[in-house]
Amino acid sequence: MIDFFSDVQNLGLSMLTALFAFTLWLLRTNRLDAHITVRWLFVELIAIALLAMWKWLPVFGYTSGLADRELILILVIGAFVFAAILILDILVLLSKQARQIKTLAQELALLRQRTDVVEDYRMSK
Amino acid sequence: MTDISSKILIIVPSHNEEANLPGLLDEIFKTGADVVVINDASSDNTEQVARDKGIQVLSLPVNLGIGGGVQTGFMYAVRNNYDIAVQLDGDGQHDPSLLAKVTAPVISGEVDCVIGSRYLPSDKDENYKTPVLRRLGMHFSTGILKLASGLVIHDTTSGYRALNRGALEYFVKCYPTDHPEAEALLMLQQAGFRIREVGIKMRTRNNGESLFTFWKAAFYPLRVIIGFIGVFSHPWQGNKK
Repeated sequence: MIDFFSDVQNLGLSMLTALFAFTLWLLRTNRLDAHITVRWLFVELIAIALLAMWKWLPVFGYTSGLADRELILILVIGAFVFAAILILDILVLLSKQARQIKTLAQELALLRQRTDVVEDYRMSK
Repeated sequence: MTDISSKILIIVPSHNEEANLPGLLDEIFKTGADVVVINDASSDNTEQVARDKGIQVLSLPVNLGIGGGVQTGFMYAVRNNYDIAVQLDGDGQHDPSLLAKVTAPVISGEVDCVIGSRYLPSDKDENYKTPVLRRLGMHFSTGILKLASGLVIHDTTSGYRALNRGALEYFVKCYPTDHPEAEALLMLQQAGFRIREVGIKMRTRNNGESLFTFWKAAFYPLRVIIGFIGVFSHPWQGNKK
């Protein structure tokens, strides 16, 4: 049983590490905003730490009493990774739109300034 | 090479600085340089205060933070054919009378970017009191910048900077968003631009509050690391040509 638990834990850690690496890859390829990435990597590191220390957490005593702790662990990891991938997908979209909004806001500010200059010139004539 | 007839623009990024701007703009007028105020979606009368002084204002419809604001100023400088742009914060902490000192190495063509530094060992500002959190964040970014690139900059968070045309064109293409100072230095260094610090005295803020809050300071080290990873992993940023 303990060996099976270790296998599940190792599988979970591998999945979370892969997710961590995927997040860094999204940053590298400029798909994910750096400031969103900061928060997200923080959440992933906490998840990795929780899973690595699962045996020593109070929740382990509770799940072991249910005699299905491995199943619960698998479900928790599976749910986390599924939610994480969904959230990452949304964050990539948000990052892209944030970049577009930034560009639009800058161009709008520059255009307004040019319009003001032209208006002032026309008024002075 | 830039010469003494260089066209200089002072960029003043401002967010809710209606109380600090009038005095600062009066001081800037004395330098004779052109000036543009970046109104970063202020909720006060920052825009009107600048307009009343006859200053060009770039008014952003949404708050982009210091990085997005300053980059807008760089875009303005490039499109209006300025040779040198000087970033000078709207809170009045940067003394415009030091403009000649900050721009001199860029004008002579010795370097591409000059940082006005409070902590240069040979010309330290002994009177300036840095808040503890900011000091910690700055030591961290100084250390990691040195570790990552070998570049030794004593005041990585200083916003008093002068850039030549090449550096401006580079930053128009890409500039970091929040707390961009240390990351921008690494970008310049990686792209082959030359950077130098000159000693300056900085004043304390008269009105308003710093945007560098407790939580921003707490996340600052992580942001710097992520920003540096981003710089090292974007190959297209690596060449100033």
